[in-house]
Order: sequence, then C-alpha cells, then structure tokens
Amino acid sequence: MLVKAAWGVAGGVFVLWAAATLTFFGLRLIPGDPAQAVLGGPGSQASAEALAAVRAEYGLDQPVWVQYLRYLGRLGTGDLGSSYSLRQPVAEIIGAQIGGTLLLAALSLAVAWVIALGLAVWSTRGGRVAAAVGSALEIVAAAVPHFWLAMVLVLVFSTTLRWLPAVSTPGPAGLVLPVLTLALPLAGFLGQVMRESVLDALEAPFVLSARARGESEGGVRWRHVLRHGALPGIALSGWAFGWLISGAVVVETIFARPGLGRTLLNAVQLRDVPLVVGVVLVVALGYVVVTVLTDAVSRIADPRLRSAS
Amino acid sequence: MLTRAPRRGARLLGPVQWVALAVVVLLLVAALAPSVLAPGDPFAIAPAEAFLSPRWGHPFGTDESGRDIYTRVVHGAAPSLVIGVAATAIGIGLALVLGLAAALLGRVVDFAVSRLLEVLFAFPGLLLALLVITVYGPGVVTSTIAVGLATAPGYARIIRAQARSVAGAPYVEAAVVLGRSRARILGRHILPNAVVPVFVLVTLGVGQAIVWAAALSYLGLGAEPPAAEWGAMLFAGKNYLATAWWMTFFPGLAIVLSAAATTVLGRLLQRREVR
Amino acid sequence: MSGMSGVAAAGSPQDAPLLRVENLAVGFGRAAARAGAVVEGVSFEVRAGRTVALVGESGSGKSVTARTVVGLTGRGSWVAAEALEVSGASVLGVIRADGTRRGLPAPEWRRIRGAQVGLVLQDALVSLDPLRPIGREIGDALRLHTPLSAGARRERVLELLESVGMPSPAERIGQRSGELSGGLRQRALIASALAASPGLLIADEPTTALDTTVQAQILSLFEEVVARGTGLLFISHDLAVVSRLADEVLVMRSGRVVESGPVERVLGDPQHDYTKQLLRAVPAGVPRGVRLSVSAEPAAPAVDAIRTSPPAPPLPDRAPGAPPAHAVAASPAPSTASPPARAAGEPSAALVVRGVTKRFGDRVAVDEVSLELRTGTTLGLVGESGSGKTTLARIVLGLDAPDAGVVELGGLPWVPGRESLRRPRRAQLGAVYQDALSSFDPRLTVGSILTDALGGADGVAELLREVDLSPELARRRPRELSGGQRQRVSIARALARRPRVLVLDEPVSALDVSVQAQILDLLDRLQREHGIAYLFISHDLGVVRHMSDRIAVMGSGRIVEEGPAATVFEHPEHPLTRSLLAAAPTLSHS
Repeated sequence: MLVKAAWGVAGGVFVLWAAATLTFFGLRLIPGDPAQAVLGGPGSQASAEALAAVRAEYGLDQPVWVQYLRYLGRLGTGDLGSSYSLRQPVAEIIGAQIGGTLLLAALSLAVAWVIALGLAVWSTRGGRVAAAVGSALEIVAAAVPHFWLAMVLVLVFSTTLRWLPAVSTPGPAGLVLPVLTLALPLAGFLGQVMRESVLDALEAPFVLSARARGESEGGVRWRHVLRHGALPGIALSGWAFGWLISGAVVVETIFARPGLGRTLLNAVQLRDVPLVVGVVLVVALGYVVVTVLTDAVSRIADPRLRSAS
Repeated sequence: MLTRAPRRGARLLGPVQWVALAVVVLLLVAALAPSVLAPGDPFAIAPAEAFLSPRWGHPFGTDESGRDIYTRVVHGAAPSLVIGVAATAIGIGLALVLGLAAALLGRVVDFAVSRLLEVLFAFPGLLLALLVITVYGPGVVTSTIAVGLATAPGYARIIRAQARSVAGAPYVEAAVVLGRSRARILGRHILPNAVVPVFVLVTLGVGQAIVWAAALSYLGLGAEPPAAEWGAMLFAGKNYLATAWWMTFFPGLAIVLSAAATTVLGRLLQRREVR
Repeated sequence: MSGMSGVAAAGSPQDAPLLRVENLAVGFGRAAARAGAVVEGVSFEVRAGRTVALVGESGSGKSVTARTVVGLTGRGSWVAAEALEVSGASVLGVIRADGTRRGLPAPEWRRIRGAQVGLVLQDALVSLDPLRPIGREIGDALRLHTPLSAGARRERVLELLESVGMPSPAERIGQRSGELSGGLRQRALIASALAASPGLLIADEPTTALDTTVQAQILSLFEEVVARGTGLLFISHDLAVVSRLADEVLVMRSGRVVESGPVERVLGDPQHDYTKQLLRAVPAGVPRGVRLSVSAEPAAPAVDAIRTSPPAPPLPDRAPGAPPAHAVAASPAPSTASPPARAAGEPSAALVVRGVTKRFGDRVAVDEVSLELRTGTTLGLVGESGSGKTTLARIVLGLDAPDAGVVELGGLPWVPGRESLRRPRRAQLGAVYQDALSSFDPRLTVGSILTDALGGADGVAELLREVDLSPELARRRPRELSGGQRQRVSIARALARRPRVLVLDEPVSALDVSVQAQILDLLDRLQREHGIAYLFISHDLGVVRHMSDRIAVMGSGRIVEEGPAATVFEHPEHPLTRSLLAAAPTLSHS
C-alpha cells in the first residue's frame, strides 16, 4: 500500500518535471526574440532597458541548457518569475487568485457528485422516464458548452426572474450560477458513467444474493449498489478537476469572477508568458496532487485494485 | 467505454436517433448549400434594423448592425463544421500515430508514449489549447490546431487501449499458431479491428471539437467578428446578453444541436460496432 | 419464530414440506396469454433433511425454477402454479378477477427470503459483494431477520464461519470475497445463506466454479448441513455430483421435467430417452472408442442432409482401416478398429517436451516438465487450476518462451527458437481452445476463417462436413453459432492444414454434457481417421480418462505422475493423483 503510494508520488513528480520541461521548450517555439516574447511579443514595444533586464533575469545570453537548469532551479524554489502586464511576481498573483477558483471547483465537484449519484441510482429503477433521463445525461454532458449554459441560466435566473446576480458577487448568492454552470455538464458526464456502473452492479450475482437474504430494494441500493456506482466517480475525479479548471476559464470570464481562470485568459490575450506558464504549471501541480489522491482513495474504496498487481 | 456492450432492449433507431439524423442532414445542407435554406447575404448591414428581436422576417432577430441572425447561423454552418472536422482530423490523426505506435511497436515505445500522454493530461482541456495559442497567437487556424492538439491525448489513450487489447486477443494468438506472418496478422486482424472503432471516435469528436472551438472563439481567441461563424457570433453578442439575448442564444443553440446530434449518431455507430 | 405465524397457513405445519411446488409454470412475456413459458408443469417437494436435485443442461429451466421459489424470477416474468408453498404457506399471492395473479407483496417475500429460504449461487467471488467484508455480508441476514445487537451478530457470524469449516474465522471476518480462495469464499457464501437458520437451502450450481478437490469438500459441507435437518434444493448440470448428494432427482429439459424419482432409480434405471442420453454422455469410466453421443448436435441444420449425402471423399492421409465418418453405430459399442498408428508397432514421438521450466516473477509456473507424445495417440494432461497446464500448452504452441528446456516437434527442435524458423512447420501443430468464440476474429465469417486457415477457398465445405457441420454455415459469423458448433469450427480450423499434433486446452469444459459428448466423439473419430496425436488438457478426470492413452498428472508446475491411463487411474502412486481421484464425483449407477 505504502509502496504503491510512494510510486504514485514519484510518478507525480515525474509528470511535473516533464510538464515544466515541455513548457520550457514549447515556449522556445515562439518566433523572434525570447526576451521580446516574455514582454508580450513584438507588439508590446518594450524598452531596451526592459529587454536587457529580462535577458539578464532569464540568462537568455547563455546556452540553452544553462537556461533550462536555471529555470528548473527557480521552479524548485517556487519562483515563477514576474508578470510584465501586472508588474508583480507570478507566485503572488496566483496566491491571490487561487482560493476563489479552488472554492468554485470544489463546490462544483461536490454538487456534480451529488446530482450524478442521485440520478444514477434513481434512473436505474426501470421504466421509460428513467431510461430517457439516462440517455439525456450523455447528451447534456457532451453537447452543452459552459458558455451557452451560463447564458441560459443568466437569462432565466437573472434577467427574467431576477433571483440571482448575473455577475458574481462576493456573497454565496453570487456563487450559485457559476457553480451550476460548471456542475451540470460534469454531473451529466459522471452520472452517465456511474449509471453504467450501477446497472452492472444491479445485474451482478451479489445483488441477487442480497435480495435472496431478504434485503429490501432500498437496502440493495444503499448497501451495495451505491458504492459500486461511486467507484468510477472517484476514479474520474482527477480528470474532473482538470475539466473544472478548464471550465473555470470560461465561467470566471462570463460571470466576471476573479480567479485563476480569468487571470490565465487575460495572460493569454496579452501573451504574458511568465504568467501563463506559472498558472499552467500550478494547475498541472493541482492535477497531479488530485490524481495521486484519487488513486489512493480508489484503492481504499475498492479492495480489488489492491490485490491486482 | 469504447467497447461497452449494448444494454438489453436498447432500440437502435428511436425517435431521438431520427431527430439527430435530421439535424445532421440539415447541417450538411446548410454547410454545402446555405442559400437553399437562407437566400440572404449574411453580411448585409441594415443599421435601421439593428437589435430587432425574433419576429416574422427575422426569425432569430438581428444583430448590432441589423444583420439577420438566421441567415448568419445558416451560413455559419460551413466554417464551424470545417473547424470541427479539421480539429478532429488533427486530433485523431495524431492520436492514431501515438496510440498505434504505443500498442504495436514494443515496450520501449509504449513506455515513452504512455509517459508523454500522462504529462499531456496534466494540461487539462482548454489549458493545452491556451498554451498553443500563447505560442502562436490567436486566430482561426491556431485555435483549430490548438483544439486538435488538446483533444489528441484523450483519443490516443483510447486508441492505444483498443489496439493493445486487439493485439493481445486470443484470435491473434490463434493466427500465430496457424503460422501467419507478423505483417499478415497486422494487416488482416490487428489493424482492421483496432481502427474501425476509430470512426466512432471521429463522429463523437466532431461535435466536441465544434464546442471547443466555439469556446475559444467566445473567449476572443479564435474566429473573429464579423465572420459568420458560430463562435465569433457568440463573441460579438456576449456584450449584449442582457438586451439582445437572441444574438448569442441562436448561434449557441446551433452549436448545442450539432454537438448533440453527432453524439447521438456516434453512440449509434458504437452500438452497431459492438454487435 | 412466533413472528412467522402471520405467514404460516392453516393446517399442520409440522407435517408440511419445506417447499411444495405443484404444476409450476414460469415465463417471460404476457402473463394472460402464458406467453414465453420457460418452465412448465414442474412439481416436487422438499422436506427437512432431504436433498432434491434439479438436473439439466443450460436452458433447461432449472435455475429459473430455483429463483421462482424465492420470488426473484426477474423483471417481466409471470408465475403460475397449482401450489407454491414455503413451509406450508402459499407464496403465490392473490388471484385477480380476470385470472391473472398479483404476486406476494415485497415485504412478505422479504420475511421469507433469508429467514425461511437461503440461496447459494455459483461463484462467491461475484455472489458476495466484492466491496464488503464477508462478516458484513453474513451479518446482513441476521440484521434483517433477528433482533440481535451488532456485537451479538458478530459472535453469531464467527460461530457460523466456524460451522462451515472456515479456518481462523476471526481473521477472515474482515476480508472480502476477492481475498479468499475459491473454496473459502464459497464457504462464506454458504454461511451467509444459512445465517438466519432457514429451513430450506437452495444451491444453484454451487460447486461448478471449483476445483475437484475443493468441490468434494464443499459437497461434504452440504451433506453436513442436510444432516443437521436442513432441506436442500440442489441445482446442477453434473450428474455425478447429483448422484452423490441427492435423495430425489428431477431431470429437466427445455423447461419440463422428463423424469423424476429416487436418485438410485432415475440414474440407475433411467426410463426416459433423454436421461439415458445424458447418462451415456458422461465419459467417466467409459472406455475409449465407445460413442458418448446419440446423434450430432440437433442445432446443426443439415445433419440429415449429411447423413443422406454420400460420405465425404477420403482425405489423402485417411487411414484405410478406419470406418467412414458417419457409419459409426448410434448405439454405444466399442470400436473394433484400432488406430492405424498404434497398429503399426512402436509409435514414434510426435512431440517431446524436455526439462521445460517457466517462471513468472518468483512463481515457478512450470517446473522441469518432460513429456513425450507418441504419434497418433492421446496424452492427457490433468491438474487443478493454477497447476501450470495452460502455461505448458502455450510453451508447446510456441507462444511463450520457456526459461529452460526444449520442445521437439516431429524429431526436430521447435522451442526455443525464432518464430520465423518455426513458421514453415506450423502446419504440423494445431490448437483448439476452451473459448472458441474469442479465438475467432469477430469480423470474419466461418468461411473466411477456414479460407484463411486453408490458404484458399477450396475445401471449406469439405472441412465443415468433416466436423459434421453444414457447409451453409460458412456464411455465418461464429457468434451466431451455438457453443458446440463453434467448437466444431475451431476443430475444423485446426485440421485445415493436416497437423500431426493437436494441442487441446480444455476443449469441452465450457460445453453442456451432451454437446461435450458429441465433440469428444468427433475428436475420437478424427484421431482414428487421420492418426493425429492429441495433447489433451483438462481438469476433468472423467473426460481425460475417456480420451487418453497415457496420462500425466500435473500439480504446482510439476508432472507428479505419468503412465498408461489405466495404470494411473487404477494404481495411482502419487498422493496428488490419489486425492484427485478420490475427490472426483463418480456416477454410482450399477
């Protein structure tokens, strides 16, 4: 168990290193002067002093491998460079923005989980309505983009009903629409996967055994089927985290909500390379952490994964 | 999920599938001969008719310059579809190379490709696309390539798993026992069985790619107004959401319907494949 | 038991059988029309301390009958009967005015299930929730049917585990089914069915997934349970198992009981043709060359056409003395024609295995195995699961490389070696697998599978006739065929290039006994006609004995005993052989 966890962590460190490396060399594909690129590309009209400062800071006059090692060394100490557009260290910007995004993602994941598991267990009771819900889930998950869902929610709940603010306000009311926008498509996806797993469990012999010992329909679902339904949801949570962060770029922009996603979008639009790299690497770190955690949780929840070598 | 067996009693062609089929036909007509459905000019400006809500003559309303949204949505099908198909082709093409190489070229290649995929998964969803756009700058071409690249790792993982299970299937071993050469086994058994399910992925993928590309356009990183492209129309309309909801609602609906229809048809193909 | 008074009917419950089934019919379809009946006219009783067996092949309706008794027939089913009583009380529910029936309400069923009737299914790996400890699974029946506290339940679960022969129950109680061996988890499953002390136990193929020696232990456990006064309804396809356990037996076919009565009478002096056919199909104790099957598989559409058509043209290597394929008498009679290869004096070695060893990590799967398979004869390889039989087969087939040792085919080196050097000689060696379906490319038809094997379309029809299949089947895909037909296609493919050696890895294990008999007869005929040598791998001692000239017994990767079939069976030397033979249930119909 511990050995497996250690391997998981080692794998995570490898992924992070490789992600950093890929980013470093990927960004060297930007045409023209790298110093210019750091300062926002040829259109930014950076001063000669600024360019010289960047060259010195990143060691751009030195061989590539020296630059690469310095880059890794700085990442190792948590130094992500500084943003030219915001004139602030990248680490500080991310520190200020990350809380809101994590809150949004965590709430959305929780809401999506509850909706998905509820739908999966309910929609497998049989009958036409339930089957229709089942197939609707997958269409919602695959076809309803965040931007459109956000728009429809705003039209209904803000513009027409005036129940909730269209722009994210600091209070809990401001969180409702962004969380719903992120959670509903995710719930559709998770629900569809969980539903398959619930259907498999319902057809499994152990459910027949449970019924044959006098277990009620509710007991069968609560004690047996629910867990089997939840398993793929746990396994997919790492993927879901990444998906939520990706969605946060859109949702934070639409609802004018401060956060990592909106910061990233602004940075991409301004081609603020240090900030883009910083945010992307922090998300990669988050993804790795969540993946290692969900793998561990999966192994605890499903003993079959433990015995499989 | 690629090889899930159909549930008992699942009908192949229900009403949902027929509607999806109709949507796809409509989409193809709009893309190939838009004038059949909407004879007007998608770029014709009429300042006097700006911001008209949906009504007779303008079923989807008009935009800030008085252009007819219905005409623009119909004419927007072609560029949106081209972007979707191109991005999917890039994504799946790359995924085929990576996935088949990993599955068939031995352990070293498999190890390398699998690690590469793991690393790419650490840039989830739009993030990889945003990185690409940071390098090459915004625009239709970049965003199409970006969507293709961003979707490739997911497809590659599915194709690799598929090809691996085929390569290790008992019928492949049976062919070895019959004395078939490696090339013949590859051509007769492994490639057909590994690649045919990819058509399902393509169908499912086009809808996804349209959604992703529209998201990038909506963020102002893809196609730009006044292009009659669904994502660009969304971008143009988002500032008028409170006053002229139809400017974004209808292009958005077109995207949702296209994606939903291709998803339904993709699942249909998948079920046929499994049979 | 005072809480049961509401369920118990008037009359004398003491005399009432635990289960009374009178003229039961079950179907899937419209109840009013009695459409889609899968069980019809089934009647029997189970009394305390007695064992009643339902025996039949797949599709006979035996499992449906068992499930109907606990009200778990499944969605969309209907049940009709003159009587269906558990402990003297009807569980049929109410008859409506229009003649249709409303089943027993769910809460009443739940008071019966587990408390009065326990159910044991085939494999505890999936019949116990793999995510929950067995202690919880067993305790559930107590939670549902007794007022015991959590602590008292735990005590009772430990007692139960003890009573089903679970070693160190306190440790096992927290383990899940996947962490236990096949035998132990089957014991846990039985404990869970017995937890609330039901008077009647239903066991549906409870030992089918187990190795022979473990099966023997579990059967003993059932005998103990019955001796303690429980009534047992035992469902099985295996006549030998039934003959050991049952007092009464019902032979079922296509949803109907064809014959029933005391086990000695039904199995010892069968009256119905189908019972006779089933008994004849059991290969255990039947000498080689005696036909096991009466006719070819009924599912093959062109059997009659084949019979009336002139015999297939003789193949070049057909033995001159062998009888034509379809002229073998339908009645069991020892074959008078001896295989040509055996008649030709001391046969040479077709396949030699010398000192083959294969490790997977620390585990030695195959440990210095040496074997010799002589031309035109059968070498049976028996052993329990995990003994290394299949690994050895894969090495012989050149699919896995051994860590040490060599295999020679036809006197020339075969393994180890490069595949490109083996390929030209692959025609000499064929293989038939347990799961025929997965050994066929799903995209190909039977015709193209055989065309591939032959290297041309010529001879496909002949090949199909050779294995008693209609040439019309060439257009079908394997998944549209029955299990027996698939295995015939698999054999046809193996024969296509006229091999000298066939490796048969559990070729009949997935088949019903009557289909198994047909396939064994076919293999026997083909060997006599073509003088092919068989390496016949099976866990089933009866099958192996029927088929083999020599037998090798494998355990933990080693060959523990090897010799002529009769010698090994009648004078076993190694303890493993003896325990295998002792554990194998045999038909005792004299």
